[in-house]
Amino acid sequence: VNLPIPESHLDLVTRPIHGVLTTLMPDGQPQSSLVWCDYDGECVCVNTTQERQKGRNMLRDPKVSLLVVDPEDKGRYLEIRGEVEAIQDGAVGHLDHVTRKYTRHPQYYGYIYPLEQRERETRIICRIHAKKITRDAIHR
Amino acid sequence: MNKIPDEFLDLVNCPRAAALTTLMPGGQPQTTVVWCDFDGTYVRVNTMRGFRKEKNMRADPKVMLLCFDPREPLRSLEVRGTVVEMTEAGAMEHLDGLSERYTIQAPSHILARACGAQRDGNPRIVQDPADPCLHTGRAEEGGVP
Repeated sequence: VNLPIPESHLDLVTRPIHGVLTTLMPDGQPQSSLVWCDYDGECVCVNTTQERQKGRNMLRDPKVSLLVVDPEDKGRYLEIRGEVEAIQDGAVGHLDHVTRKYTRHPQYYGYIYPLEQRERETRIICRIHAKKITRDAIHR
Repeated sequence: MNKIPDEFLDLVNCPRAAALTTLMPGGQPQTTVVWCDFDGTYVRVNTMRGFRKEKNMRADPKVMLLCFDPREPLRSLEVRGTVVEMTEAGAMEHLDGLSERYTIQAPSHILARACGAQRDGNPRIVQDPADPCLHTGRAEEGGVP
């Protein structure tokens, strides 16, 4: 299953808005963090490393949720529940693409993180296959 | 139980955005925008009996609440914990208090009509003493990818 993102809410993942990504700790405790998002035409993608907590969590248990709230209208949001497909190929290029979307910098390593850090971690693109999509507050 | 640092209290007391994650029966995380406040000891959210998140919290009290301001995403408060209490006592007053602070009108009657469900309320969230995970505002420039 991979549900399409409704066109009415595509802007929430194509504009530079921070999303809330939730992954599962080894004991099942949910853990959330603010992430940069991107849309590849099919799936919403986030970029992290194999070494970070959320990366380790997703590689062990791919179940995630991603919530993106419109900063100008908190009642307008998109929630995607699904499973992550982790891809290493092209992950640094993807990270640079997202860095340009969210910041004024041309690339991530060497600008946001030290260049040396690039060799110390393994980047992954996390494509979220949507199994359930919800939208907007009921009182909106 | 962790104490919420004073300088981050604004992020649990009616923050601009709070994302509550509960666990579906199969363990799938489910995240929604909620209103929350702080009673001096516990963070409180307000929901309705019969809502998915309410059923989830009864079945598994493990929750995650990420509080932030969407206009200032580098500053956030991550509260990982368990729900210690769910009560209907004072729930309507709590909701109306939240409504007053979050909006100009109290929508409890709208919410009640919208779902036709009996109100439930004031689930209190407390950081699990066994899981001392209280993270505050990770400051990487441009976000936390």
